[in-house]
Amino acid sequence: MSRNALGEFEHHVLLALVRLGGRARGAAVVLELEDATRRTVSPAAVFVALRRLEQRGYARSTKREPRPGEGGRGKREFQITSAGTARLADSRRTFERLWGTGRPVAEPS
Amino acid sequence: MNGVPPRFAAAVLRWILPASIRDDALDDLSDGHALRVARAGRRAADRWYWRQVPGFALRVRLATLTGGPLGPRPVCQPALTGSERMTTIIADLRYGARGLSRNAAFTAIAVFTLALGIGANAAIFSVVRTVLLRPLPFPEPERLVQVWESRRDRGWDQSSFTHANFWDATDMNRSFSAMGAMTWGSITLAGRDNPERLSVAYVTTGFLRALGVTPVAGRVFADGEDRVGSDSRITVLSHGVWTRQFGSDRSIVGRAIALGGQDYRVIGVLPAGTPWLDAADLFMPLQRGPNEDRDSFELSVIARLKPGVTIDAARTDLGRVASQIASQYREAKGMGVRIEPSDDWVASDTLRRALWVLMAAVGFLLLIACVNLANMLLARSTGRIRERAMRAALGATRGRVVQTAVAEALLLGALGAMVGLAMAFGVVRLLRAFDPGDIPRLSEVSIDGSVLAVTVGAALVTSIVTGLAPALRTPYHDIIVALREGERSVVGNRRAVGMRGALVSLEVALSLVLLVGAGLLIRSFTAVLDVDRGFQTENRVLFQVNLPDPHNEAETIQLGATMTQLKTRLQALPQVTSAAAVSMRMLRGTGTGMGFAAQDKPAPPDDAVPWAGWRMITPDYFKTIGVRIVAGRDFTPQDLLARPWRVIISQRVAERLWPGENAVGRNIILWKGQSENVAEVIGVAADMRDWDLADTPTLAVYMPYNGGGMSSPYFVVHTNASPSALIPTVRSILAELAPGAPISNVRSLNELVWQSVAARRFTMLLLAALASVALLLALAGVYGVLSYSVSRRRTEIGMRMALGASRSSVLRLVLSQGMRPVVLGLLAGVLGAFVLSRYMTTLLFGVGRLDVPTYAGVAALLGVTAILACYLPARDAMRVDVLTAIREE
Repeated sequence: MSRNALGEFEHHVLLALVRLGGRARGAAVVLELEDATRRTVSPAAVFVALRRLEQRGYARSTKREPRPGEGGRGKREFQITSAGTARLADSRRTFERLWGTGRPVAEPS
Repeated sequence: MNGVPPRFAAAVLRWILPASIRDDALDDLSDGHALRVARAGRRAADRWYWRQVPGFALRVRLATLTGGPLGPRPVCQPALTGSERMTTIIADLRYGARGLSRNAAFTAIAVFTLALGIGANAAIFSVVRTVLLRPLPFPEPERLVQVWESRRDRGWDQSSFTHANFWDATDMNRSFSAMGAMTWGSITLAGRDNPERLSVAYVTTGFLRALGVTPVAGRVFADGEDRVGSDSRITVLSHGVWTRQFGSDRSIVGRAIALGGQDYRVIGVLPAGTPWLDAADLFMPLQRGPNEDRDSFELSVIARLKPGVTIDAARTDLGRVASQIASQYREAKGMGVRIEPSDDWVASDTLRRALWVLMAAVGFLLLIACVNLANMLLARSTGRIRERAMRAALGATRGRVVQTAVAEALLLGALGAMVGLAMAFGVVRLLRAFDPGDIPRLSEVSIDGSVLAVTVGAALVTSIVTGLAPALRTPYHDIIVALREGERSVVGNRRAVGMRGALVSLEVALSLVLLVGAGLLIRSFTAVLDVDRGFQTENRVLFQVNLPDPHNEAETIQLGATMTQLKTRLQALPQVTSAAAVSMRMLRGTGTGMGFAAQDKPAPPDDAVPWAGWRMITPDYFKTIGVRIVAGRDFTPQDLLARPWRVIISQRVAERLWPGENAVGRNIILWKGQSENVAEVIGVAADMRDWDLADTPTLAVYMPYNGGGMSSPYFVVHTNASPSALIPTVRSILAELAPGAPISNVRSLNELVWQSVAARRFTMLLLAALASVALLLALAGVYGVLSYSVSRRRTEIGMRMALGASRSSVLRLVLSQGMRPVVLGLLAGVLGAFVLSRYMTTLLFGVGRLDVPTYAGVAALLGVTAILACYLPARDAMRVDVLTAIREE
């Protein structure tokens, strides 16, 4: 596997960022994934994955200043970068090519 | 608010997570918590929160350490291929070498410290390996056992075998594939320049067969050669005598050698080895006579278990044999058999214990050396914290920083191992040179592959452990702080100070344990030397005169006459105060014994018969060795022939038989339960410890003697000049009386005493040396830590003095800081010594393992020297120049 390839979990996290649109906090990603995959998702895994994606340039994070009246300190929010989007598109094309040339896979009954 | 996450869980996470990600992580979790409260209720949310703690503690925290996305953010993060990684390792080693060579004093001290620990370990381990761990030089040694008789009727649980019982047991047992017996003798080898006295092991054919020995040349005894009637004039040479006397000449096999005036044919040569094979110079057949006795317990018996027979099965089997013999013969009443594995053939229990104690001691020493080194590296690393912060800031991953630190420690370890091995070579040579004589295989001890492996392993573990400690304290998450405040900030770091204090405490505790051990051994040693021996040793010399064994009555009388003449001629010499002969020398550790009882008192039950050592002595024996005759008189030449026998008994025997009464003139029964000879007591001599100094005074019975009857008597001579100067005169007198008769075992009684404590002295000196090194290392540790801390606190101390602190209060401040870990260490050490001294009790004499003076003395020694070690840095602190110190800031 090349250095650029996405792991399955990273793939899911990136897709969750897309689905959430704009900026998302870590906890939102966790919930989005749990809803979509119908499995429990470890916040620790998401925490690490988000930062790995950021390090590889597929996501970026900013600390949002507290809104007026909200108080407290800024909280970190993630969003997908153009490189991340390109990466997703690329992997989608790869999957489609693979699906298109092969025989359809029967769903397990 | 409803959404507050469980406080304790949050606190735990806050404590575990590094500052760089702490807030983000807690935010994520509290967001998630709040969402879950809304969805599933407070409880479920709390449970969920708790469940996330381990994940964050392990996954996230570990990720911060390994240099991944959560680790330090390197400016550039090169992906290292294998060869690139190798390059970095070499670079780190180079870097480490440069650092070490730049700071030569530090390096020298560190290497020396390590070398002491490693060298001592290698040396002692090489001894332990050779003496305790190397298997016996026989095939399948686990099948070899030693067999003793026991006699319930006499209360003996371990005795040599009698001849008849041995042969019966050999015939009747079903457990042994071979069983053999050995007894001792000596014989004179004639010819060449000087006649030499050789020791002989008389063995049955089963003896060497049980051991499974393959001869170097010729053969060992064949079946039937231990039967009366077969040729008894054959001998198998030990390897030692073969090389020493016959120049390792193989053609000696089949030739005849002159022994004790007769020709013996050499049939074979044994290989070298311990035990048994080096126990005697010559091996001769022990032949089974027609009417063997069941009274003289003198055979050492060994056996080889049949394949598949356990030692317990053999015990049952031989128990059956023994009770059968016991029911058949009156003299064997109460006979049992005791079987022990061959584990202690090479090293006695005491020696094994002593060696394990020494091994533990060098282990402690290595631990102390490690602690010292860790402390030095820690101090150094604290000093270089800015350097590491800089590297981290420039993008070094934590892995790289650790690698650099460990590389440096590994270099130190390698150097330490090399110097340590050189030391070990030296120590092993020293040990061999100081051979106390009763440590088996000491001459075979060497630094071999397994010792090397242990040494290298010890060095490796030591360096990695000591190198990691400081490396893991790199201030990744406080890089800015470290860079800004530099070195000083970290000195105040409580955890670092606490850790170094704990290390000092550990060192002090370990060295206290060693010092207590050494102290107890030293006190035991002096107690043994100070014990009332009962006999005098100054200006007394001892030697053995070896004449051929008498073969008949006439020769026996002639031998006695020669010995009497020798004694008379010796006494006539102007430099001789007194001379006497005795059948067996003192301080052999063992001796001949017999049961005894008073004829005029009711006989004690069989198992309560007291046991006394016996010796045959000429008149003047007591005078010669300075022992008082407290009642009655000394022997005269006439007593030898008197019937009933006349004997002199020791004071303890008199007390035992006739407490508070006069023993002189009473009749004593000798060899009670055996031949039961009656003898008249003509004198009572003061008690002596003439078997073993560490024993109670011997119960002793002395019988009259003229030096004949039993060959090879020992002569003791009290001179008024140097004892050794007498020997040439003795040789010339003997050459006139009995040409060709050798004298052997020449020693002064002082040497004899010294020799009898040699093993004790050996252990004591070794442990004392180890303990002294440990003390030095611990003091160096105390001094190093404190002086470092003082040097870092110069400004603070200067401030204090500027604000009016007196010199004495500064002194007190520094001393109390330095002594706190020492006192803690002393307390821990005393506790440790209380516990560990349990393993030393068998090595002690005349001193309890909890001997208060030893503990107090050692603690005081450590305490006072530690105060001195603290005083030097404290004095420096007092001399801090206020202006300079403040200007530095």
